[in-house]
Amino acid sequence: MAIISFRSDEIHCKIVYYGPGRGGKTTNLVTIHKALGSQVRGELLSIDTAGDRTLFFDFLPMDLGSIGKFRIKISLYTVPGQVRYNDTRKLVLRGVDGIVFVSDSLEARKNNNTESLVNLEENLQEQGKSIHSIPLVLQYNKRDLAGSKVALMPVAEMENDLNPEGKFPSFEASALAGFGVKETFKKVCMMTVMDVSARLLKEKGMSLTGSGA
Amino acid sequence: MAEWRNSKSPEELGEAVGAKIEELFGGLFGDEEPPPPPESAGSATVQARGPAPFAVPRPAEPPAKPAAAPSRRPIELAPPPRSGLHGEAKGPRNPLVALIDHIEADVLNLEWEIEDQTIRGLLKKCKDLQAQFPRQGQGRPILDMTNRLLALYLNPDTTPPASAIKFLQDSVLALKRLVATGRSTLPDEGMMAALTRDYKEILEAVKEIAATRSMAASRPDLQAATDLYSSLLKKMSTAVQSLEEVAQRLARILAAWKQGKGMTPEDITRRLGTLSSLLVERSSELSAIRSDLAHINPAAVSATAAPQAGKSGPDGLFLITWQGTSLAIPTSHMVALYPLTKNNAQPLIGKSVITIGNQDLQRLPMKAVQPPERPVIPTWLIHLKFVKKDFFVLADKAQGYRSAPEGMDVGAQNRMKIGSTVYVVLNESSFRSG
Repeated sequence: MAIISFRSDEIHCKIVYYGPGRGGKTTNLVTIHKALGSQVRGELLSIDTAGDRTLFFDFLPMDLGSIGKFRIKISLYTVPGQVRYNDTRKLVLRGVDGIVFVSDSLEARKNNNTESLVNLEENLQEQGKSIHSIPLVLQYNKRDLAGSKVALMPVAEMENDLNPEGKFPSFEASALAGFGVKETFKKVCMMTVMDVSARLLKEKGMSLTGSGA
Repeated sequence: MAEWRNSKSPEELGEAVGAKIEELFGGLFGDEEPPPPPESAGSATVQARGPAPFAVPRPAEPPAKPAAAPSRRPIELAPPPRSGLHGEAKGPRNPLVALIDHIEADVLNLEWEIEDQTIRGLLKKCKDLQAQFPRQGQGRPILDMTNRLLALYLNPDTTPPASAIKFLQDSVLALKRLVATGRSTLPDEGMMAALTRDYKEILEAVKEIAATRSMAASRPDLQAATDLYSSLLKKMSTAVQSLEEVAQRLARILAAWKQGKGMTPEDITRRLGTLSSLLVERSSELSAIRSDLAHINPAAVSATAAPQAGKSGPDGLFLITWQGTSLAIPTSHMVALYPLTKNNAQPLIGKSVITIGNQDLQRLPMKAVQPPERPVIPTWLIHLKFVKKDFFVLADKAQGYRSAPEGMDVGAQNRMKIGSTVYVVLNESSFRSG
């Protein structure tokens, strides 16, 4: 849940990068961390306890500065993708405001993508939320492997699997090469802030205008 | 930049955030190579989807200025090591390589879900692959280990540890290297040694898990006691955390009071009142835990909690200073700890029996070797129990907690040296003399 501090006029949004194991969620965060200036980003906390996979979660706090009357702060999280860490995923999903679903374009990972999306849906349902009620952006990662010997799924096939109704905005990306990362991040931030501020207006009758810093 | 400072609607605020992000990211991918345009088989199809809100991002533009290098790079961004197979020039696909790729995909899927069907398929592929490797060389032994490990997943009585998946991934990597180099042995000698070592460790772990399981199955009381013990430990941690929070809040109130930050007596009364209720609540939780603990069969718990041979004593030592002497109290004898203020410590000094709740506690009779010249005001009251008899000790200072050394029954020791300090251990004879 977004934390709105009326005393300091701050909105904290929580965005979670979700998806199957080894799909590139942490790489997304690292790329964002690298690309943002130090005045915006906090330290990226990455608890990487076994080899190259996220067993706990990564956390990247950032301060976008004042917009309208509010100071916007965004916290990015990743979850461990492996099935056995579902409890950690549930924990990280608590109070989420926006989600980026990072899917893996490798053909061999087709089932993992759908399973992970179903898992996201189930975990959100446990919180009384729906996948359609929360800002969600799809990212088709590892597109830089197109043309290599590795079998990659066509984007249309991925759309058909994960976004058959075309309800979610989606982006092709390569978190490793850096393309598509900004677009995904920008979109999810826009949607999340829009959603949070709309709720603010509706639930609290708050005005969003005022003097910015 | 001005437009995002006067946003009025959520949509405008969202747009403003987008503009801000664009501004913050602008040119900051300075140390990235401009990516090649994605050779997207799907782009055309996606565009044909019409109004679906799908945006194909343009590759990042070449940077206008080089990005400042981050002060710390928590994770290496270099691409993961790939076998020579992926780096080969395009040509007809080697069937061996294709088979290993399939095996790799299956192994990756195991990380997601382990199903008998997948394991059986994987075993078959590995056996097919094994036949392709020459008799001499490292390919077959690697696959032998892989096959044996996979078979463990199919055995309902064995549970391979998580490291088994890592082993399978490493063995696939080794096989890829073998094929890529076209040699019968791995170019990196350490790789085979590491695989063999990991394999042995996994087998050991499997044996241990099976042994623990069979012990638990043969002793249902042991399992119940273990479950209760774990649940109590969890509750205890929560209560301790909460007490720590209370201590922090008290320290903040004290600091504010010392700095004369204008806290009214009402403020202080209210805050202290809250903390007092919290303390009462937590102490009742701890009492409940204590009464639960009394129902655990200690023999059962210690057998499960410390299955290592030779380790039969308590888990740890609480270290204190008493009358200038360093004492180590085995935690198995401890019931409760009470912090003392000067005011409530004074009346306890010199008492041989005190009453806490409805329990009488007898002072543990001890004689200081070198009593301090000036009397020391105790800061902690420690409630101890030995065979249904309650004792107390007034500590000058609490020094902390230490785990018992592996395989040592600390309760059977008289003295222990920790760091440069020699501690007198409160053991059975100390209590019996009381």
